[in-house]
Amino acid sequence: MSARSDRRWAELAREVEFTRLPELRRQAEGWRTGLTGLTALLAVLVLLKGRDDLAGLPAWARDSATGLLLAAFLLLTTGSLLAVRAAHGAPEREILLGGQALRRWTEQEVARVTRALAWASLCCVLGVVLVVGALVVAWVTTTSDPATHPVVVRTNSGVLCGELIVVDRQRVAIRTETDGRVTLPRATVLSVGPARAC
Amino acid sequence: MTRAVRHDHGKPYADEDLGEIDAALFTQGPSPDGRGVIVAGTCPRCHGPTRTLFPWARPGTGSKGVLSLLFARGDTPRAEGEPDPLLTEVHLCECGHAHPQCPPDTSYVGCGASWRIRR
Repeated sequence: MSARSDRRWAELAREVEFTRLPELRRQAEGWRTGLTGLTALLAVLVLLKGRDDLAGLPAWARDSATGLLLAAFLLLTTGSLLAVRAAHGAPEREILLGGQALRRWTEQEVARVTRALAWASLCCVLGVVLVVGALVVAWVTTTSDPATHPVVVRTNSGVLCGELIVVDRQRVAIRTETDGRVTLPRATVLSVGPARAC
Repeated sequence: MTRAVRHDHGKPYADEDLGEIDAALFTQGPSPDGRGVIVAGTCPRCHGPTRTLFPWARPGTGSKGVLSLLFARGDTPRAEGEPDPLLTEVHLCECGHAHPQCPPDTSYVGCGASWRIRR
């Protein structure tokens, strides 16, 4: 380390004494902005989006998608916090501030910021991958379930359950899993009601 | 008590590295107001009495001690096991006398010499 470099570090260390409060305020502003953005994002996701998209899935698919989304949520939140930490730092202990102490601290901080950025990137990529995984699970299980609006039809002779095809003045037509399309004369139908599943 | 060599006020300012200096010429102790540690001694170049304060300060940003910050009372928390500045820092002449050609904007008013201290 040259004498000129040592002197410059010493001058910088002395300057720090006069910039402590502005530096802390700048740090607080950065964290405020980051946390406000994160809170807004989570509020939009949780309050506006809700869980409607998962409600129609089979139980195992719903559980899998929920787990994936939860893990993605945690990873994305962690990644965001790590990115804010890398950008704006975090309050830490005081040190005996001299030029060489500042130089050592700067080297350590560079390593910490580099690590935080790497982890933030990894968390965000994994979070997005998990969100895509949850979407794939939802799509795959949705297409494999043909009875999206099952109904229960009570007639003079019994009860049928299936997907409603058509209702008019003459007939009620449904598609059942066992018999396929079944057409019932309207006069024989006592009631038609929704069913959760057949 | 008299010093063997008088303070040479006329020595021109020079950014000069004097290498390692014997620790016996310097003392180190906490400042009276508790703001930091003071290293005092005689500048090996201009022979003026030099006195430098190394204050406790937060250099900017970092990740250590967040829990301590949350639960600390009174003074801000300070790092433990901090190396003593006497042996770890590069010391600059701060005799307080603006030697000839001393830059007007320097934080260290002195003859411009710098040195490390060894035991």
